[in-house]
Parts: sequence; structure tokens; C-alpha cells
Amino acid sequence: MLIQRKKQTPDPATATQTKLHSIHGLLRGRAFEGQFVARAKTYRFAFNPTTAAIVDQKLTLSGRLRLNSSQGEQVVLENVNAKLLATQGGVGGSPVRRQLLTGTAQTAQTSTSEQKMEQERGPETELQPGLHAFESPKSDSLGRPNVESTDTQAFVGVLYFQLSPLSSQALRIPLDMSAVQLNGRLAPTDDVARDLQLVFSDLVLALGGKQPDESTVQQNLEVLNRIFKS
Amino acid sequence: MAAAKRYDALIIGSGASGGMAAKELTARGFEVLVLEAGPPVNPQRDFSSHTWPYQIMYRGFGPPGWKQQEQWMQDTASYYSRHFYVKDSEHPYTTDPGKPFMWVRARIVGGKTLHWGRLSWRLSDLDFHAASHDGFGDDWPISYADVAPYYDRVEEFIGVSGNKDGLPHVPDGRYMPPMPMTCGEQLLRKGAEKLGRRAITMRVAMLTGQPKPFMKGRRKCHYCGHCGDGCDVNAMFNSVASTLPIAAATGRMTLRPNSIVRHIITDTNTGKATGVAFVDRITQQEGEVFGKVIIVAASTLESTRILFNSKSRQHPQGLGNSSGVLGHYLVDHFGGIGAAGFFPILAGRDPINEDGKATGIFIPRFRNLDAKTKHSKFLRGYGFECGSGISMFPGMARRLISGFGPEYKKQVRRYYTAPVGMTVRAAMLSRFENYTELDPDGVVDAWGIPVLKMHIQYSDNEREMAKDAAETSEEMLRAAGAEVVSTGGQMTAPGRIIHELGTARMGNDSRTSVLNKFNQMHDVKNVFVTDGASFVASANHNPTLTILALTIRACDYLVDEYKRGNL
Repeated sequence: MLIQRKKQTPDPATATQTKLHSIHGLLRGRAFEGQFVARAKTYRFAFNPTTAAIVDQKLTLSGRLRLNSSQGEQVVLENVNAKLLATQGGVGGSPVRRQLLTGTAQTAQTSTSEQKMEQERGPETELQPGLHAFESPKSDSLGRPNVESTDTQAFVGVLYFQLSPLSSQALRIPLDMSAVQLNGRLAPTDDVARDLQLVFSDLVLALGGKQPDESTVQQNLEVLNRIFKS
Repeated sequence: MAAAKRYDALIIGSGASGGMAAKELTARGFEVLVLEAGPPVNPQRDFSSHTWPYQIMYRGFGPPGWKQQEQWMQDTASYYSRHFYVKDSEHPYTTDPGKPFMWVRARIVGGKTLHWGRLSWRLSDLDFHAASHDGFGDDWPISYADVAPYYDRVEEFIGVSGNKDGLPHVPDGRYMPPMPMTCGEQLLRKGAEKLGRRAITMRVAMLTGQPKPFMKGRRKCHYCGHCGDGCDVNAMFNSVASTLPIAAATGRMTLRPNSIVRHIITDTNTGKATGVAFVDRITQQEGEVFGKVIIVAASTLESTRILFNSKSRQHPQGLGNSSGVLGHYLVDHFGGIGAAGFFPILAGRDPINEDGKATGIFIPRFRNLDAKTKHSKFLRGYGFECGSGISMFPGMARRLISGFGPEYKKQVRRYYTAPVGMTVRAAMLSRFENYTELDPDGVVDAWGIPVLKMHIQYSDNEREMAKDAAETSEEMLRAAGAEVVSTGGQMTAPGRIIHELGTARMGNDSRTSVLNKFNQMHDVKNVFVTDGASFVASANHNPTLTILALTIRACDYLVDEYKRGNL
């Protein structure tokens, strides 16, 4: 075993962390939920958007941020804005569309040896109870194989939001929280989150071109707001 | 107050290239500091190569959907090795809508060598001079003859098992005994040969012979088959078992884990690099270290990110980027295309233990080698990684056989002994328009460091190559006597094969490249980039052997230049 010559003695309690740069959460239902550690204390958070709008060509969500400390304290901030900065495209299984839910779940199978297929496709996804593989379109009009998770199979994997300045005093966290980034990962395990992933994906694609597709943007905003309010 | 220590060399990264640089430089008397962004590794705690599936919840597959919650990485990681990788959610990067990139990263001492595929191919002049061959892109500034002696040294040191196959475009090296082919692989080899193609044993960095005296702590492979979960007998080459202990034994290496590099510090007057600014992952404390030479070996894209983040008055576009080429010519290989099925002749036989051979056979490139093999629709070429054999988990049961109930079980038992498959490993053309940059919208990581945005797509060349590969794989399987169950597939998203290369390429012209032919930065002579970022083109072969050879070559040059006072 390799021995490091200078042994570190990390002591989170005396850490010099002064600024909270980012927090990351998973979309569960309508909320992004996660946790972070600040000054040796763990905080669970949930950001529940209630409205969505386009501000300066950027998707902006507004809603409630709830924080729970490991000591049981709870703080709620209303009217927190989350401006979408950028996204990361998801790779692998595309979102399950509701109309296909009855007995379907995955993207196309890869045709390789079992060993290689094990490596190239996560073995766990197709083992989800009740879900079975199905054939998706495999070729373009010239008969060339498609690229996974692109074109009609493209979806958003992570949404990176800039939160409006948070008051560390109100949240009782001794850190500079004036510019916290929320890394919202879309790996849905419930129907609401699945729907939201589809809407976010369509919205991001519509906003992403040189000329945003206004009508698709508006349609998806309406759906987004309906889901947030439901 | 004492002046800060100035090391002879600072090495960023402890993976294949960083580890090798540490070994080479400490052997020449250099005192080096290795900065690794991730935690140290303790094989007894962190490796689980001999854990049985029944000893772990979910039989080692992990809870449903766990990977998606943490990362898109689905290639190599199992539940056993998940801790080797970073979580995307904590280490952001961004992409254009609809154009995903899968960036698999291993922030840990040893980096991706802890779980790499171990395939060790030499590139040939067909690769180094590909542009001269077909007119697309640029040649490397080096030839096979320049690198061959370093390939020799790498193979001797890391231990590579394989055959001398006499193929000029896959040059032979110095090998330990090859791993034998299974029955199914022999059948596939014969099928390929019927069509005038070769199928050879994979060359892998695993000890199939007795370890050499300098390979202290390494043992001969015992065919347990769990290389990707951390090899606890060190039969597979990795930094933790090979290069780093040798460097540490000289007493001239200091390893600092959990050190996330923010940027390279440059002298405001000379523009030369003087040190590295970093933040401690655990304590969040900021620090600076100083060295006479900087080796950047953080992995292809992480190295480029560091260079972009090292902007200064003298280097306003990023360190070494006076050409504007930094970040460009990003490539990966693609996979996902192939064919799979069964050999009827092997169905229903008594199962034997073929599970432990963690490698297979390779069908080397057979397109565009010469005028006779020229393909009308694409340039360059592809090979196939193939396998056939019995494995502990009957993966083919859910991939290739459908149905349920007693008949399904009967079919699984019958074909358990007979699966065969091939998957493509194909070249991607190096194009300027495939690039990475600092995210223009200001996304940062957990330490406030700006992250990368990827812009990469396949061109028609790759799409045509994929179409051809789907056809030729099926053709070969049928020629081998296999019953083909599925063929085609989807091309893997860029990044998935984890062979991301380019973005700080080498070249003779400082206006069109970042590095010279010795991996030295054109703009800043005391900075070397020795990982895959330096590649000019991808070829269709796994890159690690070439990365290791280029690192040794760069270190030889560095030491000479250092002695001459040129750094």
C-alpha cells in the first residue's frame, strides 16, 4: 500500500470554508431534494418550485426552500428564485413516456457480446421490476445507426440553477450563501418527476437553439406551471 | 519566515501519466510533489475483487436506478467499484441541448488505472501519419520509430500479455504469454479468417508470467475476473501497485491527495510557471506549492480545464493557448455497434469455468489500410472487441433470450454455454468544431472552480463507419457459424468509451498546436502536458499504452533540457 509522506489531519470543524458554492439535489416529485455539509453540520434541503417563467431568455423557477439541520431545526424561505444557467444532457435510458409505461422502459438494446453489453449498458436499469426492453428506432433515413440519447432520445440529465441570494442569517448557516448554485439531477423514480423531466427536456431543447422555439417554450411553460400547481 | 519549498517538479494527477512521470523523474534524482484531487486508496478497504455477489445486496448490481442518481457512467462501474468514480452531481460539466457527453472521472489516487480496460495496443504509422495517408486533418509530429523504444520500455515495465501477430498496423511488442482463447473465440477467429480478416488475442496489461524483480508486490494473474473492481494481487497494471510505490521508494516523492488544483501560477514578468494553487478537498483550505517544472497529467479534459483556468495577463486565453487551439479537436472512440448470438455447436455442453479470463479477442482494423481495402464512404477504420464464453451471471438470459417460465429457463440453461458477441471500437475524426471551453454561463464546481462545457458530435464519417461495422460484424458471426440474435445497435454517446483525447494537441507549428512533439508547451517551456490531451488523433486503439510511452519520452526530454538549463 502506498503511504503518503505527509499525513493530513482533516478537521471539518475548523475548516476555512466561508462560501457555499453549490448544492446538489435529485428531483423527487416536484421538489429538488438533497443535502450538504457546512461547518461539520449536515443540512437536508428541498426546493419546491411553484411557478416557472422565462426571464431574459432563461428559465426561472420560483418557490420555497426548506432546510432541515441534523439537529432537527427547520427553516423555510419563500420566493427563492432559481435561474437556469446551463444543462447537462443525460446519457443512457431516455425518460419513460407515459404512453409507453405499460410494459416498456428502456432505450434500444446494444448488440454486443454479453460481457461487453454488461459494460456498455448498466445492468441495473433493465432489472427494474415490471420493466422490459423494447426496440427503439435504430437507424436514420440513410440506414445509419442512431447515436444514443440524441435526437428524439435526447433528454436533460442535470439542470444547473443560480439561486437568488440566500440569507445565511435567516437560514442560520455561518457561510456566505449569496451565490449558491443548485445542481438539480433528473433521475426520476416517480411519475411526477418523470413528467417534469420530459417537460424540462423539451423546454431546454426549445430554448437552446439560436432562435428559441417560442410556441414550444410557451406550451411547456404552461405544462410546467400546471404540474407545479397540481 | 522560511521560504516556501520549491520542488524540482510538480505533477498534477496520479493516474497512468502522473504515476509514470513520478517514477521516471524520481529515478533521475528529481524531487517531485504529486497532487491528486481525490482521496488515497487502501486496497484492503477499497478493493472487493474477491467478494461474491451473494455477499452483497442486490447481488452487486446495486439498488435499482442508483447509477442514474449519481452519474451517467455505466460502463465500467459496478456496485463494487462505484467509489472509484466521481459523482456528476458534485462535479458538474455542461453540454449543448441534445448533444450529450459522458465524462467518466476517477478522482482517487491511481485515477482510472484502478479500473481501466487494460488493453495495450501500439499505434502505427498508419495512425501517426493518418493525414498523409488519407488527406484529412494533421499528422502527429512524431513517427512510430520515435515512440517504439518507449513502447518497449512501457511494456517491459507494466507487463503486457499478448502474441506477436505480425500485423504492421498493430505493431508487435514485448509480451508475456497470451491468455488462451475460449472455444467460442476460436470459432469466431476462424469465421473472421474465412472473410480474410484476423482475430487476435487481446493484449492486456496483466501479468501472465512471473513478475520481474522490480515488480515488487505484484503477482501473476489468477484469473478471478474482477479486474475492474480493483485487483488486489496487483496483476493488472495500475499506478498504486506499480509506478507510485517505486517513486515513493526513492524518498523523493511526496504525494498530496485531496488536492484540487485551481490553476497554475505564472510569473507576472516572465510568464513562466512557478507553482500551482489548490484547495484541500476535505478542509477547504487554500494552498500554493512551487516547482521548477509542472507536469499536467490530470486526464485529458481535466488538464485542459486547469489550463483554461490558468488565465493571466500573459496568457489571457488560458495557459498555452496563444494558438486558440486549446480545447479543440476533442475526440472519443465510439462503440455500441456490433452483433451477438450463440454458437449452436456449443449449446447444451457441460459448463466449464471460462469466467476468469477478463479479456477476449480483437479483430483489428481491416478497412482503409491500403488501396485494396479502401472504403468509399468513410476514412480511417475500426476494430471489434469480441468475446465468447461462460460467465457467472448469465447476461445473455435477459439480452438475447426472451420469454418466461419453464421454457425460458430451459433456453437459458441450453445457451448459457454458447454466447458470442462483438462490439466496435472505432476512430473518430479530429475536428476543430468538436471542442470544450469553460462554461460561458458561469457554472462552477463545489469549490467554485469554473467547469467545462462540451461541444461534440459525430460526423457523417463516423455514422457511415457505424453502418459498415453493423454489417461486417453480422457477416463475421454468420461466417463463424453463429446464430445471430441481434445486430446493429446505437452508437455510444461521445465520452462513453472513456477514451476522450485531444484538446491540447502536439504539433510542430505553435500556431496550430499547444504542445511540441515532446509534450512541452510551446508558450511556456516549463509546462508539460503528458496525458491524452496531447493526442493529435484517436486511431481506433485504446490510448493508455501510448500515453505511458509519451510520458516517458517527455520525461527523458525534460531531464535533458533541465540539465541544459533550458527550463
